[in-house]
Amino acid sequence: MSQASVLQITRHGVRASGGAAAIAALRGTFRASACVRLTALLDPPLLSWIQAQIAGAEFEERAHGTISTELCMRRNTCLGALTFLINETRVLRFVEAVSGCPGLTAFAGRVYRVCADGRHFDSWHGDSGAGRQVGMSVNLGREPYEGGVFEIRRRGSTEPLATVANVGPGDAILFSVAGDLEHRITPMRGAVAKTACAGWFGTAVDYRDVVRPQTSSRSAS
Amino acid sequence: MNPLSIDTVLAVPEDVIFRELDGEAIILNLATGMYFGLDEIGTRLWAGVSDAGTLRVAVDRLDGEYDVRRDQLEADALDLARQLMDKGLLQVKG
Repeated sequence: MSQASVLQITRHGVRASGGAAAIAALRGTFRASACVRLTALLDPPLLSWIQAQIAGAEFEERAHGTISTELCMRRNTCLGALTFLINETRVLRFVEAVSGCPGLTAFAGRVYRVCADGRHFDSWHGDSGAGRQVGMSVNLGREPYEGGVFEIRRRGSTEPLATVANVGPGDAILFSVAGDLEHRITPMRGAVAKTACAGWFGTAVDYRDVVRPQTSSRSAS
Repeated sequence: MNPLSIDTVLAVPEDVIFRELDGEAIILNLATGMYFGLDEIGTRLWAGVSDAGTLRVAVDRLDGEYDVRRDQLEADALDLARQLMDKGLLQVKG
């Protein structure tokens, strides 16, 4: 499942390497498994900055109906920066190329944390609707965690199409969002919590509506 | 302080991030909330400075690609760098 780093988001823009062949390989994995792991999507200096921000951030418990319960980071500069950086032309076009989903207009997400304390869980669910096409989860943790494995399957099946332990620093999982697919995160184990940025690339949202509420309106011009 | 020149070594401050979307490039200072929009040439100058650290390298990359004299390109690059420095989006390294 793991692939070499093909796209990397930095504080100063996006670095791409590997070319068409690497993207074709990722696309092949995505087609076969409905998901693919992207190694080191966030470069180490950016990840370190984000981790430092998260260390001082406030989280609040949030329940998504009966699907899941987690700690969700309150909106802050860190989430604004992540949203700002991911909503990049080359990131959107890259995700389109890997997923085969054209016309992606924006990424919207959150930073969440789940612990192995029995309070946090994530059940099988789908994310379709509201123009969502491709999901993404980026590992923001400082240490490898146990459990918290991403699984995706066809609705009605008991066999996962793929099982991905996304424990590499700054690694991401791209996964397909469709009416016939569902996914979950397996229960956490051990003392290390899982912290990730999760959200969706979609076709129904203008990136300006995603970015602007989270960044200052002050202009330097 | 020495005057800014195209050989001055420049650095992007820790809290400054950049992204480009649909031809609109924006530099954002997370600490102050200041942001700055760049046109195509400005975006390429920024990329050159953030990669290589000097305006000379950035100007070298653009020289000959646009219908503008080298001295004008250097002057425009210095003007952009001064504006970015005034906004806390670029700084002299060291």
